[in-house]
Amino acid sequence: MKTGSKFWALVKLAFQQLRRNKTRAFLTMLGIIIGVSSVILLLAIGSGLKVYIRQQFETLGSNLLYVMPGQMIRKGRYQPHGELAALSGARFTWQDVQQIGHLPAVAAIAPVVFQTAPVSFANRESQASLIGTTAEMFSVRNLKLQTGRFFSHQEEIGGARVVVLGSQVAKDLFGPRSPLGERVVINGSKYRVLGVLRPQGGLQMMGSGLDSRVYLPYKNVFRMTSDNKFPFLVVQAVAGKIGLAKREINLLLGHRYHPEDFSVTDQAEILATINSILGVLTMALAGIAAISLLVGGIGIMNIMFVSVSERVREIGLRKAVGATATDIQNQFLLEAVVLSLSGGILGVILGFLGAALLDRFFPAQVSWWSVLLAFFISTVIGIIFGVVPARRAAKLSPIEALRYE
Amino acid sequence: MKKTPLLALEKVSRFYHQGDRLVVGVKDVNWLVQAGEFWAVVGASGSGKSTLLHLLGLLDRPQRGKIYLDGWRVNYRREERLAYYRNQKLGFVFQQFNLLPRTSAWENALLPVWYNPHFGRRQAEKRARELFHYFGLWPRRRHFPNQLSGGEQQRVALIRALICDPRIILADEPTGNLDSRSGAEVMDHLERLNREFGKTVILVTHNPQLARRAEHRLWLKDGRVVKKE
Repeated sequence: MKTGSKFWALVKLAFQQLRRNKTRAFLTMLGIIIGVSSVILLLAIGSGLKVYIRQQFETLGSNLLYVMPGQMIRKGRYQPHGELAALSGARFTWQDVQQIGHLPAVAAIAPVVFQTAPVSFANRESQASLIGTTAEMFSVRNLKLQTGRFFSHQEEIGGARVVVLGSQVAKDLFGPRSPLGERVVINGSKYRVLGVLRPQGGLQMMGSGLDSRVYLPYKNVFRMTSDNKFPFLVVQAVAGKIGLAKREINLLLGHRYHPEDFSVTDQAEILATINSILGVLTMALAGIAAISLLVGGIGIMNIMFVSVSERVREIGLRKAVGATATDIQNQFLLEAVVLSLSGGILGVILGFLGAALLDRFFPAQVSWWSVLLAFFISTVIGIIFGVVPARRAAKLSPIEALRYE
Repeated sequence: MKKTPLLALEKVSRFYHQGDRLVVGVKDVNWLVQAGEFWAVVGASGSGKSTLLHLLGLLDRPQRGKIYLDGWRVNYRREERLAYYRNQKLGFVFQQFNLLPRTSAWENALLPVWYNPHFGRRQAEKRARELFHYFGLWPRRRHFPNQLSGGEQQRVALIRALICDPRIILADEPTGNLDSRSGAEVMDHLERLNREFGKTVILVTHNPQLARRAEHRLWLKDGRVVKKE
């Protein structure tokens, strides 16, 4: 037979061999199937999350800059221990806010002071993030109302006890009823509900989601905390002047604070940071999943050894009728590759199904390169773990092999 | 001009290590086989006939002496070359038939074609068709070995031995696992291959009666040739 047709004949033979031992082949492949599908799934979750986060950022509003204490994010990379620096970094005063607001390249500014607190109504309670801010917040963040209204500039200045609820908080406290005009209790004081935000979706975990936020005039939160400062400023730049705005803010704040104690970051930088964290996380998780591929490979090696010792006579016979050691080696190697690659294909299919299923609850997108990677890796595993058994088969002496009972 | 013998052995010896002892397989065997001859190698078990068969079949190499096949000295040839000679010039028939289980008679017979670089599948199948008809196995070609009688299995093995059209058939106790009628049938086939197709047949057996059907006999005892006739 010519080399080309011999290759296909060997492939056919390898599949025949798999069919003869269906259960065994399937169990052997299982390691590869699980490994490949979990790698595919984890990579799908990783890239799905990236896409999701980018979409979320796009809804937040454009031309935004974030002024934060410390240097948690610098040049698009997460800084190790940056969160500690953020804790000890600068806090911004009302004066800072007003001066930044007057910078030529700044269109609007919304300072933020956070506090987590339970919000209660009657006997119901909801864990919420309090966002103490100004009336500018609603336009800067492009927040949309489901019902009611935002608080006004007068209410902000007067420190009126009014709140705008995130949709989750409203649902927790009022169910289907309208909360407008009702009074909720936060930290022992009563607040009138002015409006409810439209649901923004995203991950909701223990009051940390976008829909678990409660917006109120900042002075209310200042009353709860001791220092009257803002840890976070959201700045909207004049269209197309985001770079200039950044420089102006840096210059202004640079006179008052140590440059290490604050940072001005735009959305692209934050997005890049999150992406780089997600990328590392995804790779680490996929790497852990890949360990099961190793286990799968060992399973293949094991079963190939069994197959070789079961077929000693066949090997002897093949050698007697003209097979070279290379022929025998290729035959068994190809069998291992077919086994592992079939497992890889099933794993990819399973990974696809898993990602499609998961995508209903959680963003997951299978990327074509992860599929290619899966095929490549399963082929390589077949070769690596098939070569030792195949060489053992190739080295068998035909005399011994034919005598073998 | 003197004809080149198809197979020539000059002072061929093969020893085995058994623990610390050196055991004689065959010693100083001189033997010429001309094309078209029908030889029987006869001897009791342990006489060295299996060793001789392995040497003739190029499955093993002698420590001393020279083996020529078709005028080519084969001792020191590379393993790949020997495999090629086995495929092209030799056809094996075994006592236990050695058919692959769960593989049809047809595929079994075509096994050597895998390793034949000169034969296309179509050409091989044409030849297989003729041989299956010749041996009366055409209707049974799709059967697996366990669905065939011993005689039928040995005939499939004969087809396999002939598929690449070798010049030499090496038969190792081909009737050993058969009842007397099937055994006689296989012997008839070997004779016909020799007479009608001019194949050189080397039959290895412990049975002197069977050996009598061959045209020449090589008697072995304790690894040495005791008589040629």
